[in-house]
Amino acid sequence: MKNVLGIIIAVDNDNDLREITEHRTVAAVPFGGRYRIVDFMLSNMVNSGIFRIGLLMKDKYQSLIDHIGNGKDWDLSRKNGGVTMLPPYSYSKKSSPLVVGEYRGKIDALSGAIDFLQKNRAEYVVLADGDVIANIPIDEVIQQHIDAENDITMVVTKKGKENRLSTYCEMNRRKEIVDIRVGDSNDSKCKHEALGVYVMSRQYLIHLIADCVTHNCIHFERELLTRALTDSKIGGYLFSAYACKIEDTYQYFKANMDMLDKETRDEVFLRTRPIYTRICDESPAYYGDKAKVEDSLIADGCHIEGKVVNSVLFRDVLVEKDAVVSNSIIMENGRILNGASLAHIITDRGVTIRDGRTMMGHENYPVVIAKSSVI
Amino acid sequence: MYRKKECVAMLLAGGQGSRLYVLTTKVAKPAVPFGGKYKIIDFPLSNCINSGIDTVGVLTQYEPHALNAYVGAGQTWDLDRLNGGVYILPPYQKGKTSEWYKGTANAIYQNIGFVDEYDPEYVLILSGDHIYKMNYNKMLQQHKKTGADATIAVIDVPLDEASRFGIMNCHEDGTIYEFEEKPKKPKSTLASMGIYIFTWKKLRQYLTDDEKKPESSYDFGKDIIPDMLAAGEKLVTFRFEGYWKDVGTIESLWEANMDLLSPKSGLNLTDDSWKIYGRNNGAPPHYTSKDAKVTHSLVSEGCEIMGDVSESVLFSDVTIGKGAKVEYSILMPGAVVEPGAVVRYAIVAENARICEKAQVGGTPTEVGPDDWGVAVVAAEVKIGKGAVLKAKEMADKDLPDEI
Repeated sequence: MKNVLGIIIAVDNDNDLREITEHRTVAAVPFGGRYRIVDFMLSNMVNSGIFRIGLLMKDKYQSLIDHIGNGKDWDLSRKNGGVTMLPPYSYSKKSSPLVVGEYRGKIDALSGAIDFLQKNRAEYVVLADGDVIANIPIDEVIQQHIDAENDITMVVTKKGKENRLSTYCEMNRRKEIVDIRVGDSNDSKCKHEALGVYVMSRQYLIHLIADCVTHNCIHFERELLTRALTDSKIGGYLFSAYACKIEDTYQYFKANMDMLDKETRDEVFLRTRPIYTRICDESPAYYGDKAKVEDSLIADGCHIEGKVVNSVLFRDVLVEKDAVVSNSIIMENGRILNGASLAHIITDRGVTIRDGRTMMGHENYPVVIAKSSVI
Repeated sequence: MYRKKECVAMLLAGGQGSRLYVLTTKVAKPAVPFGGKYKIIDFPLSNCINSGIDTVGVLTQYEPHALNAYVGAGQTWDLDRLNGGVYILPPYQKGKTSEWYKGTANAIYQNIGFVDEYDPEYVLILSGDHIYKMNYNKMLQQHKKTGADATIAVIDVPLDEASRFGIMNCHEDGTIYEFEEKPKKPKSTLASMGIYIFTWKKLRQYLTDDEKKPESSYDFGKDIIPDMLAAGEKLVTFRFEGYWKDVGTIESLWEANMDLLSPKSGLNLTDDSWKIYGRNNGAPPHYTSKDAKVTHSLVSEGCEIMGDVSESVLFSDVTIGKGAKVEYSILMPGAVVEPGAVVRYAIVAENARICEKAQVGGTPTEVGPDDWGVAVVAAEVKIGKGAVLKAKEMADKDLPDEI
C-alpha cells in the first residue's frame, strides 16, 4: 500500500470521558490493560501496509506524543514515511488560504495540515478517528473502494444502542450510502453506524476540504459528508467483527469489560494482525500464595496478593492481601493496599487506595478516580 | 570514521548446550527461553547496555538462525547504534583458510579484525549461558585501577560444590597464582564465572600465539588463562556478590526459573534501575477465568488460564484448559495444556501441546528422590490424549493417544 496515506484524527469532538480526558486526548487514553486507544487504528494501518501516517491533534496531546515517540514500536520509524505529528498551528496562514487558527472540528484540523496533504504523493487517503477499538482490515476497505469505483468508502457496522454522538447511515443493497444522519437514526431507518474510517482519493479530499472551508462548514459528518452525498458515490464497507467508538465514560468502561469475553478478544487481538503498543519491558505478572483472580485481564508487572474479580489491571498494579477489586479498571501503577475494596471504579494512572478504604460506583455510572490521587 | 571504544564486549553464543538435550536441538543455548518473557541471552545483553557498554559482538555457530533473528538490529536492548551496537559474528570464509570456531579463544582470534575496528583498550568476554545481573563497568574500573592484564569475575561457591567449577586460587590482594579446572580437592571456593576483561593488546598477543600451537584446545580456561599465569602476567579476581546461575542443564534451568518465584533468591526482575530487556510479541494482557486458580506463579502476556496453576512460570501465549493442573512447571511460549491434563515438575517447550487427560512429570515424593527428575517436552511436540510422560523422561517426538 505504498500509494496510501493514513491520517488519524486525534481531535476530540464531543467525546467526554470526564477525569480520564482531563489531561489527555481520547486517542491517548489507556485501554485494555496495556494499550492506548490510538494503538488500534495505528496497528490497523500498519497491518494493512500503510507506513505513512499523519497524526492530527488539537489539544492535550503531550501524552499522545510521549506514547508514540518516533513510532518504532509500530514499525513506523521509517526512512520514507513513518509517523508525522501534526499539532495545531503547524503551518503558517501564509502557506495556504485554507489554514485556519484554532480548530473547531475535524475539517479545521485537516485544512490546518493542508500543506501535508498537498505535498504527499499518495493516491488514496485513509481518514480515521483515533477513538475506535476494532481490528479493521483497511486493505480490504481500500480494495472495495477501488473495485466499486466509489468516491468515498466508509466503514460501517450494524447500529447499536442509540447515542447522540453517533453517525447513522442508510445503505442500500448495492452497498451505497443513501442517507447520513448524526445523533438520530430516523426511526431506525438507518440500520448502520459509521466507525469514522473513510477512504477516498487524496485529490478528492483536498477538494472537499477546500469546498467546506470556503463555505465555512465545520462539521465533518454533518456538512462535509452530506455535501458529498449530493453529487458523489459513497459506498459502505460493512465491518461485522467487534467495534466500539469510545465517546463517553460508560462506553469506555463497557468496552474494557467487553475484552473479558474470549470471543471479543479473538476478534480484536488477532495473531495475524497484532495490536502494537509502546514496549515497557515489565517482568511477568506475579501471583502470591493467597491470590484469587477470576475473569480478569492482568498485564505484566502486576503483583497480586488479594482478590481480583471481573476487572482489567494495567501494568505494574499492586493488589495487596485482603484487598478486593471487582468490576473495575485499574490503570498503570495503581496501588490497592491491604483490605481496600473497589467495585465499578476506574482509577487513572498512579492512584493509591489506602488500607481498608471502600469505593463503589455502579454498572451504569462507573466512578473515575483522577490521576495520582491518594484515597 | 572515528570509531574508537574504550571497551568492546564479545559474547560467546556458539555453544550447543548439549546438556539441555531436546531444548537445544533446534536452537543454541542462549536462545532458550527463560523467566516468563526472556531468553538467556537477554541477561548478558541487558547487563551490557545497563553497564554502558554499547558495542557487542555475538559469536554464533550452532543453530544460529533463531539467535540471529532474535538479536536483529539490537533495538530490543537499545543496541541499534550509529557507531557500535550489536553484531552477529558467525565463522566466515577468509583468504586462504576458513574454518569453524575451534574453541572460545579461537572464536575471538577469528574476529580480531572486528575488535580492532573499534581500537579498544579493553575487551570484555562473556558467555551466553548464565542468569545474573552484573555491572560490568564496576569490573572495568577495578581492572583499570589494579592495572591488571586480565580480570576474572569470581563468585564464592559452597566448598562441596567447588569441584564442579573452575577455581581461582589467589593471594589476599586478589591476584591469582593458580587456576584449577574442576579440582578434586579445591583449595579455594572462588569459582570463575566465565566473565573476563582483558587489556586488548595483551589478549591479542596471547590469542595469536595460542593459534600457532597445534596441540592447543583454543579455550580461555584451558589455554589462555594458564598461559598468562605461566608467563607471570597480572591476573586479578573481581568478586561478584549476588545471584548467578549456570543454566546449562535441565535441572539448573528449571531451578533458576523456580528461583524467580522465591523472594529470597536474590534474582529480582522488577527492579527498574537494572531492567532486563527482551523482545515483546505484543500480545494482550493475560486472561484468568473464573474457573482458574492461580497461586505463587509468574504469568506473562497473552496467556489464557482456565485451569489450576501453582508454583509455575508461564511464558507468553500459554493456554491452560479447564480442569487442567499445572504445578512446579515451566511452560514456554505458545504451549497448550488441554482440559484435564496434569503437568507437574516439567518443562514444556514452545508450542508443545499436552492433550486432554495426559500426564506429564511427577513429584519427587511419588517416584522417590533417586528416580526423580524434571520431565521435558520438546518444542512443537504433542503428548496424546491420556498419554503419560514420567518424571525425568524427555519427549522429542509426539506420543500417541492412549484413550
